[in-house]
Amino acid sequence: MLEPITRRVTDESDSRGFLFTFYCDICDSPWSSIRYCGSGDTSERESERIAAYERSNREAMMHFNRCPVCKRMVCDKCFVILDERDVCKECMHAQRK
Amino acid sequence: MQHINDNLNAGDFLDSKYFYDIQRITGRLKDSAFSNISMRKRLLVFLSMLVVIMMLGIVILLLTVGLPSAVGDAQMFIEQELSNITHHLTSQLGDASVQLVWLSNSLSRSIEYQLSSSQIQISELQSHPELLEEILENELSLLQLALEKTKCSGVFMVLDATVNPTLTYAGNSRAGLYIRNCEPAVVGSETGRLFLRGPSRIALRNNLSLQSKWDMEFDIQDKPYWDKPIGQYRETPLPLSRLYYWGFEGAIPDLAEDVVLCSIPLIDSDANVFGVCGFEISATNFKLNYMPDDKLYKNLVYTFSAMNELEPDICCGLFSGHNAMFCGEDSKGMLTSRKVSGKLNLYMKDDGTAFVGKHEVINLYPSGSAFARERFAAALIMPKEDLDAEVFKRNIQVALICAPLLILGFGISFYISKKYLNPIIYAFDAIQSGNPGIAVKTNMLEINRLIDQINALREKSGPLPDDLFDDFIARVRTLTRTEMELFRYYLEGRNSREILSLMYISANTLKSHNKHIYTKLNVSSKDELMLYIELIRKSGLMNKII
Repeated sequence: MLEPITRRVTDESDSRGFLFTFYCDICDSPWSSIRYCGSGDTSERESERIAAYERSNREAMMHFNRCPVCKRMVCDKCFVILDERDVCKECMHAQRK
Repeated sequence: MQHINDNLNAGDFLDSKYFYDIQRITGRLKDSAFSNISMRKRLLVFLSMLVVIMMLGIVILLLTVGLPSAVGDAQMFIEQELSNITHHLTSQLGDASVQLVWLSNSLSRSIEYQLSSSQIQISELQSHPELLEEILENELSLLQLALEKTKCSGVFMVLDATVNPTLTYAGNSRAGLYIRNCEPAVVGSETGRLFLRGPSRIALRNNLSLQSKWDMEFDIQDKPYWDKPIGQYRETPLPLSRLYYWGFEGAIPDLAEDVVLCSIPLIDSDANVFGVCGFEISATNFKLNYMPDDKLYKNLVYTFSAMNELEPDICCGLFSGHNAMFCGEDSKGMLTSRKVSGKLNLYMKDDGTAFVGKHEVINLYPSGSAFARERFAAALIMPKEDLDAEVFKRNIQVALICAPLLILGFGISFYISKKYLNPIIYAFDAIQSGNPGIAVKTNMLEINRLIDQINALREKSGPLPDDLFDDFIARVRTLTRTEMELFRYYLEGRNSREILSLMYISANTLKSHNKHIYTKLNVSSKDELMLYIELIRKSGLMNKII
């Protein structure tokens, strides 16, 4: 099973389907995947959940930015585009200090 | 920047609608610069054609209306000269005719008086040949007087009697006098000397010379000067003024020159004809008095001859002029004429020699004359080759006049085409050189408008295609490190998903970078960016940029 791209991930799956929420490593703002519906077969539920998680994980990569300095996955609000190198806010402040 | 059609590929880029307006103008400029015929040459050709057409018009105008043609000049000169000479000729011949009537009357009365003093009738003259010499000598002074009063070359009187009626040929031999004031066969004869044909004793007693073709009497056989007036009088006894006869048949056989004779009967008071008298105009006399003006045309010939129906008959005629074609026996022949272009007549001699000129019909007889139907003609002609040479000479003159004008016209055409188009050429050169803002203005409203339109289009659409690409390459160097990395991925052909995975950035961050890239590279969309990237790949600049 893949490592989650963010440090905190919550599984909010229920009987309606599989749903995962990823949180920014800095501001903890959430991003939820779409709800993946299962087949209803209880014997296949675990494998379907893993597949839904991996898909959500890959999808989350398009919504988070990895800071090349601290390697954290941050949301767009916490990610700063600079001329030299794009970094997270905290790294930017650290660099400026 | 205008929007690029999303479906365009890189190869069609320069042909796209995007550059249509610019290409339309610059393409035409390039075409004008590199086409086979430049504007200047084209204008030069047009102006040269205009000059040629104008020169042709001038030449045609000169030949038809303005400058008289050689044929027209010749026609005018010949008509005037012919009229002048013929006027003098008819005047002389008319005077001679009048003088002849007077001479006939005078001789008739004088001879009748002489014979009456001897109690002899004129009809009995033949019976008294011993009186003939005395009668003739007595009339010598009257003949000389008549000759002096006219401009004729000779005067004659032939009586219907012979000094020796017993001779074999006495039937055709008649006694008479023939005085000439000119003898071409006598070299060095002094002026005023007279030459006599007739009784030699008369010549001796009166200090006259004998003619080179001297004879005692005159042969009247088949001599029109004798037969015609006498025969006509015997047939119809008309007044003397209606009986004189002009003819080219000489009275003297084997005369060295042609003559024209005017003869009239000698009639006594009883209406008996007893001889003829007349005047002679010799060829020499004719040449001296009726020489045409040869200042313009050297070979002009003036002829006086009988009219054969519609054409002058120069079998028998007199000529004046310097044309060797009319010397000796070569002069004989019929002049057949036909109209040439309604101006001059073309005359052909029997030997094929062609002449051009005019002729006038001369009527030497009064109305009611016995010979009124006989007509004469005076013609002024010259060899056709002379006129052809004059026409050629005139054409050369016209060409010499026109050639400098033509050259001048070409020079002016060249100058005008250069002067007129230089501002346009300079303006187009400025347009082609791509100078921002064309300051060059011509003094032509349409061209100025065109330049203004080009300027407006440039301001609206930006620089030309080649410059755009160079500008794009230059702008690539302004990208940041991250943008350059993203641009490199684009150059490598990565799609957005791959780029997101490789760069670990969100889609929004990618969009932000793209937005910055578009702004910096002066493109409006990813499609336009991809067109430039395709051009970079094709131009081989990819490695250099990466």
